[in-house]
Amino acid sequence: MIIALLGALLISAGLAALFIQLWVSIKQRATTRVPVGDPWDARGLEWSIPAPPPEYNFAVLPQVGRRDAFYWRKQNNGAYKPADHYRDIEVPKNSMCGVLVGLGATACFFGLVWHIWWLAFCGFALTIGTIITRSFMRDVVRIIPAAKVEAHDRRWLETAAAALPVPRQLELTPENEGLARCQPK
Amino acid sequence: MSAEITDPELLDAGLNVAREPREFREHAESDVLGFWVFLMSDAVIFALLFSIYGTMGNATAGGPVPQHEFKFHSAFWETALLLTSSFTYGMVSLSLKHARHRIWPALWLGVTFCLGAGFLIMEVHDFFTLFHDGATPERSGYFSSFFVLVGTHGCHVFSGLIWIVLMGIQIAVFGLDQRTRLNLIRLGLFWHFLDIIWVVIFSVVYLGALIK
Repeated sequence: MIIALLGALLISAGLAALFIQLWVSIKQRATTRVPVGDPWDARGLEWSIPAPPPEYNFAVLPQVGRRDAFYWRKQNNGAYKPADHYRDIEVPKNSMCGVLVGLGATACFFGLVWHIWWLAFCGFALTIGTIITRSFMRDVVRIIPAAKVEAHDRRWLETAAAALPVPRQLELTPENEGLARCQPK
Repeated sequence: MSAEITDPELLDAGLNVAREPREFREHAESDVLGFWVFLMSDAVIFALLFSIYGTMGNATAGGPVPQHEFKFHSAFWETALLLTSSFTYGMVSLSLKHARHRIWPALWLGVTFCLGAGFLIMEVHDFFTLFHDGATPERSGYFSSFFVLVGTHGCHVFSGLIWIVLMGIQIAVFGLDQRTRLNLIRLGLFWHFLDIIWVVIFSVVYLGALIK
């Protein structure tokens, strides 16, 4: 009983830390935003796109020839360049299905844990019903035209070109717009 | 050049992906791979249930014992029904590839449904006989593990039957469009997977009891 209580308190503290982090981040968003996306001279490709990322993530699928592709590109002056050719990108349309499946499953398992059988049954029916309905939906993707992708990407590249490259020691200051000054090897 | 197993036309027999646009081939590959991942997680569940069953072999607690309770002719016919249904599902996949009209996959799907339903009816009948003889899940550790293992497989077959009905409706409504064919490929993987699990159940549970 005592141990379970301590565990519950520990988990609550973890959750509280999450919400405090959210609150602080939202409050300080004006000074901490890094639209160019690479606040700390990173290596992986996930830092080579804007922050927050566009819904399609990469404007053009990156070709990876070696480890630390983004770092290598920065070293060799290959980063923040427009692509030769932009393509249409297919993304899923917005849909309530995922939310309904999650809600139904939560209700179902809550009902199972606490022996609330009608709730468990309704949650199960909602989850399965949504999955079945989804399998009958056909028009579920949307095309983002290449022109739109290109415009968006070029606007971001302008932001990057206008940004001040920050060295290591200024990373934590509001000067940091997400463009790192590349460290010599 | 010799045909590699990774050639698109060999990847998914029923999809005829070679004639489809590149985007669909990519979708098909990742969708089918995703379903394989699901099946492997399902296989982990069955592996756990089998290991529990293995440890419960003698835990009959003075109650009914499997070698007296099991009806082996019934297990034989259940196996025959399910194996045949796997064959008829193979005909669904073949007719997806070669038939000119959607009636053929739908027809073989119907045959598969009947065989699967026959299997399930026989299994439920067996369960009722066991219950009547006092071999219930709460009677002994052995029958707990038996019912949860064989029952889980039966639940899978039941959901497979619902899925077959839904696919019949999708064929009627949409014809054999890309999504319907992809769904049929995944249902096929599911159905054959259940068949494999049943072969293990038959060997371990029923033949295992016969050896005693």
